[in-house]
Amino acid sequence: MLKIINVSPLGLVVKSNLRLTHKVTSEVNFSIHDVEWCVKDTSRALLACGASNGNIILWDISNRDGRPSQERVIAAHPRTVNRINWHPQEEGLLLSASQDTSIKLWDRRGRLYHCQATYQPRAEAVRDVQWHPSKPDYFAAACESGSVQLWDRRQGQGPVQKLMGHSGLVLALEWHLTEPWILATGARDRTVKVWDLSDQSTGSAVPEGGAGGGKEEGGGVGRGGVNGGRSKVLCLINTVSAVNRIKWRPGHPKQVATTSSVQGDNTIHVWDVDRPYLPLATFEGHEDVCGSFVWLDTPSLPEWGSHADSAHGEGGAGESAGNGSSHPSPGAQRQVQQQQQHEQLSRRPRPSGFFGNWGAVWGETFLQSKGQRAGLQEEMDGWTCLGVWRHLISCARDGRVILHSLAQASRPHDTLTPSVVSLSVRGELLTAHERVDRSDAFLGLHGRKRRAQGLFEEEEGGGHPAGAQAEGKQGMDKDAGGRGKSTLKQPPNVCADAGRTSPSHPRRPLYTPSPLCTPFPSIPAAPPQPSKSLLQAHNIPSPSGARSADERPSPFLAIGGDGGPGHGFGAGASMANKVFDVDDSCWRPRFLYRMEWDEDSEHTLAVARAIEGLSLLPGGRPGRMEKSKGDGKPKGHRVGRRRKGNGTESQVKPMQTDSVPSSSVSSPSHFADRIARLGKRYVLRPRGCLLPLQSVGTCCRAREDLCHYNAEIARLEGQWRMAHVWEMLGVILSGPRAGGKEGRGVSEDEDRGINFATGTHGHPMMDKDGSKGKRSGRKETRDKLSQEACMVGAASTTLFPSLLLHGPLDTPTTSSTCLQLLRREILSHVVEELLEEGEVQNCVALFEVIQSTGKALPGESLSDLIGFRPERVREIYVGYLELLQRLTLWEVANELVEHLEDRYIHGLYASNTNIYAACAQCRRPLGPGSGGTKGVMPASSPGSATSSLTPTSSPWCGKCRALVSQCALCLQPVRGVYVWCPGCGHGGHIDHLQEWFAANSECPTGCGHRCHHGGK
Amino acid sequence: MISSVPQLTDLTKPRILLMGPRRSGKTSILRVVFQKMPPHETLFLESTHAVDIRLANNNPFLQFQIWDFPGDFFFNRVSRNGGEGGGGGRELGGSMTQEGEGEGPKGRELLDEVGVFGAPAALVFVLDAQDEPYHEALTRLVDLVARGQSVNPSLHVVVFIHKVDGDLFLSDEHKVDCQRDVQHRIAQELRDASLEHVEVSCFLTSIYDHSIFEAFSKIVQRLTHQLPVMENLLNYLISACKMEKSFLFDVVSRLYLATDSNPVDMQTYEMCVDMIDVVVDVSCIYGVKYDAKGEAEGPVYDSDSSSTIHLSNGMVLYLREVDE
Repeated sequence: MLKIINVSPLGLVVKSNLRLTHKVTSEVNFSIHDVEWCVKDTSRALLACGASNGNIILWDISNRDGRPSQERVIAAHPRTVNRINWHPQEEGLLLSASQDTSIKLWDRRGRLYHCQATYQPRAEAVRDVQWHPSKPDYFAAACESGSVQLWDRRQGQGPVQKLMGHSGLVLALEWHLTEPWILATGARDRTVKVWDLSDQSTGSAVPEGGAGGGKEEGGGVGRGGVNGGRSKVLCLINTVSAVNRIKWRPGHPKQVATTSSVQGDNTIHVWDVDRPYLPLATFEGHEDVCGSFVWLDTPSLPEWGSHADSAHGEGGAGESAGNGSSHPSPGAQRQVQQQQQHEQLSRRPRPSGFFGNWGAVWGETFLQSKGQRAGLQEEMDGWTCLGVWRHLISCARDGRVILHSLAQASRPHDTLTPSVVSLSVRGELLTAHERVDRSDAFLGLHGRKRRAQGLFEEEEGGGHPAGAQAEGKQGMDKDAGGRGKSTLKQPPNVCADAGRTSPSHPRRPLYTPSPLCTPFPSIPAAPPQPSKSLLQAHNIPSPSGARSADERPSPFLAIGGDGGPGHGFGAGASMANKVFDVDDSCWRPRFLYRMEWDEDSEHTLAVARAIEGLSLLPGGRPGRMEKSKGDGKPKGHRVGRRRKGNGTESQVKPMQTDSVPSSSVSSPSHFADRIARLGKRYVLRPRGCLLPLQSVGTCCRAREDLCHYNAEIARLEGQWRMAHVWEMLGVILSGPRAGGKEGRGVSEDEDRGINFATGTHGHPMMDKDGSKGKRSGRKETRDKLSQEACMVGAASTTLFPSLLLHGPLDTPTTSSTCLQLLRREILSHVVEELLEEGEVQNCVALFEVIQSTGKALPGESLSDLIGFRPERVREIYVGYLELLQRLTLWEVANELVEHLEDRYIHGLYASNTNIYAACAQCRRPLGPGSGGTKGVMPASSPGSATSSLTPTSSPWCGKCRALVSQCALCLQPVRGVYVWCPGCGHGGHIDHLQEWFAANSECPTGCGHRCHHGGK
Repeated sequence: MISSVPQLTDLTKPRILLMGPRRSGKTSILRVVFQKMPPHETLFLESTHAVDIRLANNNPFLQFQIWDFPGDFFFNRVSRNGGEGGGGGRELGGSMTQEGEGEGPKGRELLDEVGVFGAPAALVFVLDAQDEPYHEALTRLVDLVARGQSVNPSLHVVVFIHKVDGDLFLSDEHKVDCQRDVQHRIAQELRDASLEHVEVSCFLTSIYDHSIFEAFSKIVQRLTHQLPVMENLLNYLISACKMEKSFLFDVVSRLYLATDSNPVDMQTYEMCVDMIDVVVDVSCIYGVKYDAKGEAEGPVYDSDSSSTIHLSNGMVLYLREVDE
């Protein structure tokens, strides 16, 4: 059975059944092993199918009359066609790999589909073949003899390179999507190998010479192919069963998904090549061998969460959506929807049912006409992000096509148990949770969780016995969705319980809070639950599925009853270690916000109650609150705390700030890049000149402007949360001036708070009002000022909802006081959160901006605003400086140290860094005014040191009037980095000198000084 | 012991030529595959001193001669070896007929290059993986390939990297390394002899698991012209019946003559082999027909029989004879 399925917001919809639309000439041609869309030819929708009788059937779907037609049936091979592959660049070129040990190249041009070439790998049946994605002449083939061969299509007599790496059949291969010569192969021996086919010696990869030039290589494990031995295995993944199909995850260069060909293992695993022992995620749901799958970029259409969205309006759990930008209007939604349906964003042929049900492989690809899609993307700009690739569509022999979402996949890492615990003399408990893993970060999952995709699981009749059963399942899924939705309106704690599908979910608290305040409460670790419950939890696709996202251990405050993706601060940087204070009476995590209750808290409680629409608060007596908080026990796990949430915490809203996947946590290299970029782009102190991104002068109200500017930077960097923090800081710093002028502010504030708290969509509002509205009219009217006051409230609500309970909101006339009181709490908490995440950079940036005016206004100094001890601040600075140095970001570190007033840090980083430069002509020392720089100096190549001449210093020597910064080699004045020899004083352009000293060791000027002692 | 002069038709049947160094396990392979000898008993096999030719004639698709060469067989010593003449054949089980090596002048004629490689043939070179270094054996392989190619360019060359079991090959990685090493050397040697065009496929085999059966099956399939047809038929079978996998077995030797084009999973294959063993054993007890004289007659498992085994994991094995 061959069907074309639309992937639409409403699910997978069968568009047409090719078997019915065509007068079937031969049933046999529907026993299909592989299908592929021709992506290159955008004018027509061409579809190639490889059949088990050796035929290749070409379908043209784009006929005028809408009827698919068989363009051509090629009797290609005497035996089964195992794989077909269109050429990625050239139109109409098709490779077919067959069981008959040959590969054939078909050309659509000229005579329709003639066999242009036949390649004989001479290694038994060819199981897989794929064109190189960027080199149009090369393709790789996987053979049953266990060899993987690289072919040049121009050389038909033999492979260019031959790799022997698998014992037993190689069943699948795929080129890396971005790296040019990286190839992943999967075999029956249960391994996946990632090869580097590039020629190490020349760097550029084309291995030449056919069977000729092989040099023996010392045969270590994984070294060497049969021919040449130049390719090496970068990675070896041991899977649990034979690997049938393998696909790199787009956008995530280190992730690869595999399916198994063996009955009994019906799952799809996602692996990280750096962590080859446990899969990052596992998709379940098929009841038979999963034949084929494709990654699907997460459609960023609101309709994908449309069920969720509708729940939204009703005050449901704040689903994803809050990526902080504008929410599309309903009109826009409709439009997109229509457009999408109209153009069939993706189409996918499909197996199953009657005939095709047997074959292991039904490939599928997504036909996406590029122009239209670009249009779509434009439309979606501003409130969505593409390129996250969090979905996957698979088909299996059970006749089903399932749309999987990573958010619902099970993560084997979660089932690992904690390993060590240690108690320090200061009463701090350190635990290492293997369990708190970074799968999310690796998967890019921090962020919006879509839900309801599970409803898209499609059932096809086709007479499959499992049909009815699966339909039942579908119904159940819908039920679950409906239930979740209905419960959303209920009090949060109820909702939380309803959303929980498995009370004994293994992600649930590691620490069971003890009911009594015992000096040393026991902390039983929950035993790993049978994986069945895990599976169950993941199979529920609707809100609870989305919620499972925030059930993930995250270092963020996800306390509070209500669900919604409470991963406000991005679950990405989950920390593996948590530190607990062992107090006199209770254990509580150090970073936990301590609620301190005023005497006035009666009103607060009332407000909170009103906000939450529940009366769960136990009495509302401050003392009691304090106590119950004291009882709060080891709350290492926010999740745990959430779940156990006694009344106290259930009113606290989870943060909903950020839902966009930030680039911050994707991988170590990204981390370094980000640090570097942010370090260079953050503006930490007022500058006279215009900043690159804005045209407004920055002279007045400098700190606020800095904040807004940095918010822009953070936003550009994809760090939405940080952008909010900056915005908030900006408002706080300008707060006293703004506040107190507008009395109505607080009521609005309250309204908004309520909105937030009840789960309406907070972010768009905040963002629109906040960043755009505010920026435009900040300095103008009182209305705007009042809006600012609201902003703080809104921001604080969003960023740190518990503050709603805290601030004395019953004094409506003094919103400024309110702000004053609030901001320290807000800021210190925000900073704590950042530290918790390891975000020293952002902390330091915040500190710097706060301190940037030099002389701080009363009440606005760093200690006033954050409330940290100077030692703590210093620690943070030192940590950041060390990080910068490790990343060799000397300039950023240098600039930071230069402006620091802390003598201690100066002592660490700026002592003995004076460089005494002298004029090369007359040996007169150059003073600070004429070229010397003080600062952090990296250890550089022996005999020379780098520094940047300050632009203000004079380029001329005060004595002999010679040009100081002259390059000794090209005699031009040096701009930028000037390298010189402290011995003779001569120097110049760094690249010139490097070139020179690569060959010489004496000074290029001929002064006879032997500047370079290293090397030879 | 029945000794018969080889018929002309028998001699034209495809040959499987088992060659290789002494004590590399050629005869053991034959015994295990074709005579159901328990693997551990092969330890006590004596070395073969003369070319031993047997005819495998289990069914219409499995028809070939198996030539078991002595380890020290060299073509330049043909006359001496041929003269010594091995003492007849041993009884082969089942329907396998047996023929002694031709003696006298006829035998000598057989054992030159043309005589050996003249018919459609597959050269199976058995290499003892535990007997490093391989250099000498591989030199000999190349020599054989050169001789064979000169006579019969369509000669299939297969190398069994044999005895990949025991302490030396505990992990798959070792096996793969060994295979890679051997293939690399073979490629080099062939290149030196300018025989790059010859396709040499290597199999890692051991008589203690089913790898030898799979490897031998592959060879048999290469010699079977009807393979594409049979494979297609099996493809249609599993497609129509929604089976996972189907094999066409030679029940006597437990080799599979064809399978559908899905990848063969070793466990599935082993399970099927085990099923055949069980079914045949049970049939031998209960399924034997007796004629009037009280003697067993007819095959124990014929086209009227079929058997189904349900496994606890939901798998169903089904065995049925396909009529000729």
